[in-house]
Amino acid sequence: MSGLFASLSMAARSLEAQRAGLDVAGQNIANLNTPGYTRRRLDLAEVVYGAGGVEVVGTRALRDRVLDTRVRTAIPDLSREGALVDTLALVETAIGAPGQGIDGRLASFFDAFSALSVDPASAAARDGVILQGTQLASAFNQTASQLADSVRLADTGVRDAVQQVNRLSKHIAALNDALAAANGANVEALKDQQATAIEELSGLTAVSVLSRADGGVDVTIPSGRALVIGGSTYDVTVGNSPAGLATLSLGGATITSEVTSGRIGGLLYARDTLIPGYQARLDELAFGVAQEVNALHQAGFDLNGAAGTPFFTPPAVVAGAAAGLAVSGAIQGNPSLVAASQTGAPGDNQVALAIAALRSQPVLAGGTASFTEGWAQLAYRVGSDADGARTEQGSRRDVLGQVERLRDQVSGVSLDEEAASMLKFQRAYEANAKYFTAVDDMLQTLMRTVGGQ
Amino acid sequence: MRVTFRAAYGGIEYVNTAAEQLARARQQVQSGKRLEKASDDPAAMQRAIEGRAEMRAIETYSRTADSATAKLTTLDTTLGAMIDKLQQATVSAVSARGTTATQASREAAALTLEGVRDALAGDLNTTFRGTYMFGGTQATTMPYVKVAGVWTYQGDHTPTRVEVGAGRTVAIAVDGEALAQGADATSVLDELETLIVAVRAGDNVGMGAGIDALGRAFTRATRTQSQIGVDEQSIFEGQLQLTATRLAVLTRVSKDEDANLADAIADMNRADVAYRAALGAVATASRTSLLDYLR
Repeated sequence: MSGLFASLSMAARSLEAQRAGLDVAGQNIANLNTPGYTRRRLDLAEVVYGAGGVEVVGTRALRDRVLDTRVRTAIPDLSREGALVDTLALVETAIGAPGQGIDGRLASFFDAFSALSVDPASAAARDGVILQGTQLASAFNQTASQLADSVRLADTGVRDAVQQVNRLSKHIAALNDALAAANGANVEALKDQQATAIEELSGLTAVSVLSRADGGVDVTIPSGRALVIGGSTYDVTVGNSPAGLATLSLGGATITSEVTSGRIGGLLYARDTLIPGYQARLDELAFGVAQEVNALHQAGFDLNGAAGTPFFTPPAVVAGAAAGLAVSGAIQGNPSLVAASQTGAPGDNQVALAIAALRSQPVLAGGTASFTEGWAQLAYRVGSDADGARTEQGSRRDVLGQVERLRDQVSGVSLDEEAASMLKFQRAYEANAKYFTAVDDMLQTLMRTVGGQ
Repeated sequence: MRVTFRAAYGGIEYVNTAAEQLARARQQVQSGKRLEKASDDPAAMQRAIEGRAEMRAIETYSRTADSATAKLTTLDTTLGAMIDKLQQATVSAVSARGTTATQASREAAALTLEGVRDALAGDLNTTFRGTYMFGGTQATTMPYVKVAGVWTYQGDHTPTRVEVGAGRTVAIAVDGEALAQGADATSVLDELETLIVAVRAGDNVGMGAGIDALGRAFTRATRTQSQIGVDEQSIFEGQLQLTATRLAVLTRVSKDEDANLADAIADMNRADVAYRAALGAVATASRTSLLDYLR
């Protein structure tokens, strides 16, 4: 049986413990909106020695490693699709609505040759052919430049994201140092920051995380190359490819093709695979138009009876044909050089008819698709890639949302719980204070008795 | 299950989703289009591009047919005038033949024939907006000119044809020599020259030969005119078919491109209700917590 003074000390400790409980509730409520915050719980234990009572064992952050890992692995997939959606939305504007892109220009171009076939000697019809040819060429040029812009924007995105990767690596390394130095002291706040930084990093590229004994982490990219080991970081460096695009290296090795997920993975996929695929198709289309129209035009005769010259400046190779497509300068300057005739007679319209008939002839892709079909296939591909990325983004978002909700059920703060907890500790504090007063009263009674007053 | 602060107050992403759907439905109703970019419906986009190209091709055929019709009408009218003149010439030549004709009446007939010759030459050299219609593809060269007293054909024998439908062509400039000369040794103009000399000379045999030549020219002209008539009829029928095809393609394209307004409005109303419900749910969640009951 302990003495009254021991009871007083016990009551004081107990008051402290209840106040600590209130503090934890306060801390939890204060961080309701803090990203990455894990709810804390006060661990109390009964004192088994001396006068007994309660003592604060410590505060604990309620983390679930498995759910943390699942969240971390769901993020890169979502942000990869997000990057694709953003990039392809821009590419889609280059395609335009049906009849308003290159398809509309192609139709107008062949229309102009049809009009020329009705009146092969007419200066107005010849001007019309040149005008529509120029507009078709500039539509190809514009679409090519919009695609090139999309590549450049994706590239800028990659460069920015790499800077963020390096910044986050340094932050994680600094947290590793701090955790090692804390040596077991209250490190939960540091761990929250660590988890937030790793999740942010996962948004940029998928990473593998290995826990260290001191609470720190080593971070590598999935191919195994290290970004962070303890307090040391390895920067991802950006070089330039011959085309002026960013190449990524880590630890002396080129990792551009190793980063396949996260925002960087998405941007690289759009930059190096998707958009170049569209560019190749556009170039094939432009090359096909130039080649087919030129072949017929050169086989004909102009209004003066001279042999036809190429209508479009002949592109040397397929690559870059769309960006460089142009009506020949000589023809632009002299409409009578447009070759409509196959015989040299000014009223003959067979070449004009043949060029007009190209509109529906399967001349692309080994004679399987017309120019319009070629364009429609490109539009379909862009559309289905964009639509696919958007759908995938939606389902990835759902997956991440579900995992986050699961984790939130463990680690999230509940306002109702904290309110109840506040009330609980407040009442306990009041009760302990009453106990303290009671003991104090008893002591005073005793003092009075001893003092004989 | 623990309901945490984030779960209770985190409905905002659902509000966003509902707002997005509402904005999209509203846009469809406003624009009347369900296909504004390729990703809205990639397969419909592909079909719409091909359908629109088909429509443009049909419209081009229609335009070409309109231009061709104007030319064919001119050809038809000119040939009609030529036929009248050939008949007039035959009547004059017949009146100059025989024993009852006097020198004065033969001279009058010869003068009429001279007038017919010049008018026929003018008809054969008819132009339409600056191009000759009876010179084959030699559209910028006058078909018949008199060189050293002989009428010479300067055109060629290739008629200019234009496409007025898939695989359907009509001639908008014809071979003048086939019309004026055919299988004869000389053109109808030279035959008229010979006939005029024969009329003046009272050469009945010569006049008989000339009248026969005029008859053959008449046959050639009527045959050409009926061919033009067939082409005109074919264009007319083709136009009807083109209009029907265009309408069918338009309906198909419209199905892919345009929003069904009744559906779009119903979708918009549903999206509106969903949006309000999401807002209401978030607002209700935000209003209550245990704190409200602790005093």
